[in-house]
Amino acid sequence: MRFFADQLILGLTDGAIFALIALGYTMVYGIIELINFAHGDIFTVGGFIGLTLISILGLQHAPPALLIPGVILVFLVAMSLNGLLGVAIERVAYRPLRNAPRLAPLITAVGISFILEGILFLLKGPNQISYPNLLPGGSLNLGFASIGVGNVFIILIALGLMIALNQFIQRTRVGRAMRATAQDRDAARLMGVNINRTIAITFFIGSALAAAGGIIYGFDYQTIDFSLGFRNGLVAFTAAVFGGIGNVVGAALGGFIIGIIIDFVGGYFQGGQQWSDVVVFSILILVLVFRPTGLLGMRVPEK
Amino acid sequence: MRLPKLLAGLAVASVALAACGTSGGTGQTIKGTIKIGIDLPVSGSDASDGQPTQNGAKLAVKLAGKVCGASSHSDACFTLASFPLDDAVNGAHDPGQGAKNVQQFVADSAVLGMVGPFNSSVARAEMPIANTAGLAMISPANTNECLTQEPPDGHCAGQAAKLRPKGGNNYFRVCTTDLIQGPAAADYAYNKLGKKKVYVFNDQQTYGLGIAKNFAAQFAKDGGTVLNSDLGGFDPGSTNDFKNQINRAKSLGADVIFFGGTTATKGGQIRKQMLGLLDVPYVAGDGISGNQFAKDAGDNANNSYFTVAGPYPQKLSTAQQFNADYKKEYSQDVGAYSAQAYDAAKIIIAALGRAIDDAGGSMPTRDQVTAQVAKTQNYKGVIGTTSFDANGDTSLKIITIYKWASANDTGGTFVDQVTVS
Repeated sequence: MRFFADQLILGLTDGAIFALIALGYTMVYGIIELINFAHGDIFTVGGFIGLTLISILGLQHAPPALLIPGVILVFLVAMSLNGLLGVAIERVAYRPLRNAPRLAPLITAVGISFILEGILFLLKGPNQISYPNLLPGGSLNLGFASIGVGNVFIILIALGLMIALNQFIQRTRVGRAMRATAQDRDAARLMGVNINRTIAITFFIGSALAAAGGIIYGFDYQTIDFSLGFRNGLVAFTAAVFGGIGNVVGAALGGFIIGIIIDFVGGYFQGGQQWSDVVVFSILILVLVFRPTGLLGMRVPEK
Repeated sequence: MRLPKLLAGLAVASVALAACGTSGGTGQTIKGTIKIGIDLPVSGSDASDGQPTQNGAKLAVKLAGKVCGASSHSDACFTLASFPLDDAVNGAHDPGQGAKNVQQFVADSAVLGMVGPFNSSVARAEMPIANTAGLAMISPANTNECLTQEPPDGHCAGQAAKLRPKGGNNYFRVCTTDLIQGPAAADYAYNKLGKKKVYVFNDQQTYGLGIAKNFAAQFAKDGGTVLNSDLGGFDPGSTNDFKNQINRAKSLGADVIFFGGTTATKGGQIRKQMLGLLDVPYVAGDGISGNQFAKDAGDNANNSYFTVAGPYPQKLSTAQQFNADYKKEYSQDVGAYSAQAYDAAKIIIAALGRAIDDAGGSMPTRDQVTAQVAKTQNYKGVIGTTSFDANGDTSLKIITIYKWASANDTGGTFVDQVTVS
């Protein structure tokens, strides 16, 4: 029971990170039907921006009173900068190709992915780089399980961001413009929606969430390296498809489910580490075969 | 006008002839250059293991400067040069890169022997290429037993023969194997640390999986329990997530963790993630002997033990001169495998001297050099007296055990030494 609870908490923590990345994939796919393969690397860049800010502010050695505003500041600045990076990538590599054949932006996305990895390699080197964990340590003893306070914070931060995103999409004018653009771009334009701006905002939000994911990843694993985005990006993309690509709630749900599967398989089975990927991607195939729209159904433009 | 110019030209030519004809007036003739290839991982996470090792080999070549015939042709000399290459790609040792590097050595006719590699997985890729070319290689640090021998239980499945497609042996090593290193670590964990239940991780590479198996077998033989028969294999290229396995170890009651692998295959990350989850000692082989491990493990670096397949250089009377020379040249203390690399290079140089005699004072062939390396018996070097057996393994079977104290530890603290006769 205790072990079950331990693995569940780990799974939810990993799932929160996958979910934050998956949201970026799903939002972009939902609005322009592009699988943004650079998104995994945008996640890595976000983590590195966070690390740089932490060392500039000297937060590793900051007194507890300054730590909370410091961490909030790091999140806000890193998310904004990473959001701008996402907007710039969209402007340079995707917008000129918006009416080109579907293959063209896919290839530029792969290109951007390699460019970002290459730049990170040149700037940060190939090593694993140590990341400070600024979340509170210790654990809550609930009798049947002890839960790391850091894990609780990670899950809460991620859930908070997801709820805020959902409210934003459902309740605001910009959110409505995003939904309208996703449904029918031409009709939305005729109704006076600024398509370019709406798509740029989508990239901004997706990349900002990825930055939050990157910082949380750093806190959780206390390590970061230039190639982090590759596997994590693919797993998160799987989560997005699993939940129903284009569907924001589905991406969040898919992320949590995949995180839990990975940690349960990893923890309960002999040779678990290798089984994790086998099981995750087998489930993906089964879902796609028997329920091609994912768990909660796709939300993509009708054509 | 013409005559003075011609005379001047003649004078210059004769001076040049004199300069290259003799050296130091001892009657020795420099007949050319012989290069010693050095293939080690010297960038990224492997750099803290590979760079001090490369330094050791380069120092041997630099101090020797030249090599002359050993006895009958002591007037025939060749300038020595090292030809160092890096087999790390994106921060970690890479068998494919190692193979390319050896092809580069083979393509250069002046390369008559090589020191390296560091990692057994790289050795597997390099050995067939060097064997086909007849190039002698001496590894300072490969410990996987299957590279050289077929133990009685047959667990190597004839690999040593497959790695020598042309037949004959060209591969030697100055460190002992994991048949000694793994069990030494197990005995230390069971007898000295008093631990009874081990949970094992391994990176599934040639070295990591091999040493994990040897460790587990001896730990069980000592009376301990190996909690996971799968030995905790993971893919170091794709995962940073070890917490679920650490939790599993904890739920099974592990009182010690063994890691089969290297710093570049996430040895430090596993140790670091144990912080707060599982507070037990961490034991590994020589794969974590570089201080990058301590940096990666950070706050949780202490209480980590590692073995080295060789003696403790600070303690050896034979190593004092080497330690001083090394410090003078590189302004730092020797690494765990610097002395081994130094001896490896010196053994090649000694064999070159004998091979020059065999070649009648001219440039020896690679086969002549390899034949002389194989004949190395009772070579008195920095690490002790080395003799190679028919498989290319050394007679010197010493394991040293060290402990990491903190993230800033530069070389670990010596805790024990085991000599197997």
